[in-house]
Amino acid sequence: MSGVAVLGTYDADARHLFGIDLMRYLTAHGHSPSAIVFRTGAAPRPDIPLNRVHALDRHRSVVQVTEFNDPAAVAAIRSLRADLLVYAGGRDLLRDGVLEASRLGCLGGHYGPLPEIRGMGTVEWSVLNDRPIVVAIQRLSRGVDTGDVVLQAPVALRADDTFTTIRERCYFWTKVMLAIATRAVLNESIKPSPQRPEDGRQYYRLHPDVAALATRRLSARLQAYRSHPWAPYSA
Amino acid sequence: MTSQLVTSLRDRVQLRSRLRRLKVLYSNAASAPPPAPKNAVDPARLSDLTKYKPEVPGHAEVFLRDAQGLFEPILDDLTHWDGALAWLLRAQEVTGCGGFSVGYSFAHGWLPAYPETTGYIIPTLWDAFGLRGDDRFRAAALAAADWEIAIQLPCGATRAGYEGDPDGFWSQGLVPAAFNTGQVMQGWNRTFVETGDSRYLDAARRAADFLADCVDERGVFVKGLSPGPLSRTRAYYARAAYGLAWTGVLTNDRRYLDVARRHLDWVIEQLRPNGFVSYASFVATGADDDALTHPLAYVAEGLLETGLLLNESRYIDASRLVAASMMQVCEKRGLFLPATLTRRLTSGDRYSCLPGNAQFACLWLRHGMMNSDWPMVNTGLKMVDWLKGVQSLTSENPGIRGGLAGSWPVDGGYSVFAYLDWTAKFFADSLLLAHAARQRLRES
Repeated sequence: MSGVAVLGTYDADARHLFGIDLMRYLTAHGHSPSAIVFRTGAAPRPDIPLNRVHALDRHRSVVQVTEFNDPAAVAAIRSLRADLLVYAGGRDLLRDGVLEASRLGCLGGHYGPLPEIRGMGTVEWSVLNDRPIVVAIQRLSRGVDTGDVVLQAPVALRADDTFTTIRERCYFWTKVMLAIATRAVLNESIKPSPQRPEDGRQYYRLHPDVAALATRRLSARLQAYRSHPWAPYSA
Repeated sequence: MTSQLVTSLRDRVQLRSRLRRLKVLYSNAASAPPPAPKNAVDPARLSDLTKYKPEVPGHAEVFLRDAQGLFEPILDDLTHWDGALAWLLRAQEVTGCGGFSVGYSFAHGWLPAYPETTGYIIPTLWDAFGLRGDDRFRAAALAAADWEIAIQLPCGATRAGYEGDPDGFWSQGLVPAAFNTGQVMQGWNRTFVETGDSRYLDAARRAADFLADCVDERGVFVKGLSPGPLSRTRAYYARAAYGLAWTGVLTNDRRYLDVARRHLDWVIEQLRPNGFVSYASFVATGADDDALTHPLAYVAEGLLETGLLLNESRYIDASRLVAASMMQVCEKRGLFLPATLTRRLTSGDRYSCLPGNAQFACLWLRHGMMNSDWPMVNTGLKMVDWLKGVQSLTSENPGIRGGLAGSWPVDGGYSVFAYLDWTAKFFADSLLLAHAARQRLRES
């Protein structure tokens, strides 16, 4: 089997996984996933075997794992012989076994301009550093957000935004951009740019007092959106 | 008794649903601003996006911004105006000939130079030179005017379309086009006024000789019809008549003025009491067919400018009627101007034609300031601010940064996925008017 395999945390019934928005976006971009490697948010599903390729039909299969880096899971992912893996998001730190389990590696999203802002709390740190809030798609590497950059786009804001709504939007934009990046990587219409470790900085979870400053800075940034004539509709 | 009650209830329900259907058909309040983003996008729209190189920097962010009803920050008028002018200068630089690129296409990149729009961008450059005193604008205006002379056809006309259209829409070669000629004449007229160089007026006179022969006894343009648009009767040539009238004034040639008047008198016959104008469209084949805001604004602009030039109040009044009716259309929808309108001024469109929006912003501000009509100024200022929200001043893509697209959203129904030189031109004009209007408001 070849093509695109998606890695993610999903609780939906296996039959419905291919109808999830990311899969539909990938299909819209001409690359329907051939496999979905998933773990649930809780106990494993009893109806799907663990760490084995479970065919749904001739073209689609699923693999249930408890941990993506588990050697048995990696073996199952390798057996998919996917051209490209797409990591749908979450807090997993994917190790070499997974990252090298496909021909072209594994794409993943990040909410911050790369290479400058890596790590955690990156939306808040982008605001604190007076940088745009960006969704970046990278080819994941062993380091934290140090993979080759495939695509970046600043995320548009609204007058009534909060860090929560911005992160929700980033999550949505990431899914669309993963689909765009998948197509571009497979069609070779884009050349990912390598990052140098020294060009950026890794950030960590914010202290509440620093988070409060970020909130005030965000409010100041959103001032420029409040004079849009449609702002009352969004408030 | 029960059956009578049931019958009466059924009749009422049927009547109500019929009335609701009629209301939808004839109501002005069809479309409204989009609701807050739901963080979802129709995958069918994404399929279209794949044809327009979404991996190129800037493309995806514009699509996603528009698809979710999000906007850019709103800054002061001249900051946005600087951005628009910088985009225009870039659009000229990329062609290397003096003409302005049609625009930046997501599919093809920068497009070739466009004679028609280069003509009417020239006055915008002279305005910029007047405001900033920056020689780059003067040089750009002269280069554009000289290029227009270099490509003027032997008959005096400007050609239809442009050379090298990657989509093959303009593949008919060097066809004389009356509308384009009238727009280029405005560029020459203004350049003559600014420089006193008779070469420009001579070129305009040759063009006027061609244009004056295109109008029949009824006042209809029957010759020089560009082969691109499907319509064969065109009221938006009012904007060409303005070029002709202006050359008539500058050369003191009565014939040009008479022909311009004859055409505009015919245009006024196409104007309906509700402000709709027949044949204000690129595709209308009948008088009742829908209008598009961009050519409808051409009509109102041609009437207004000629009215002011010749001191003809009926032309100005006609223009005001169009502007006022479109103001109602826009305000009733919560400041959303649909691209096309039926003769009853209804529309089911969920997209705007951005050049039309910018042109109407200019018309509202001009009529508003001429008559101290503050409601019209109010709508004009709001529309200018709305347009600022679709201009990215920070995109890393130079084809997007400072420019404006053809449609909102960018995948709407007019020149999709393209940033157009004429949107940038009319937006720049609207920003200067807004700047003046805000000053007037402060002083009032």
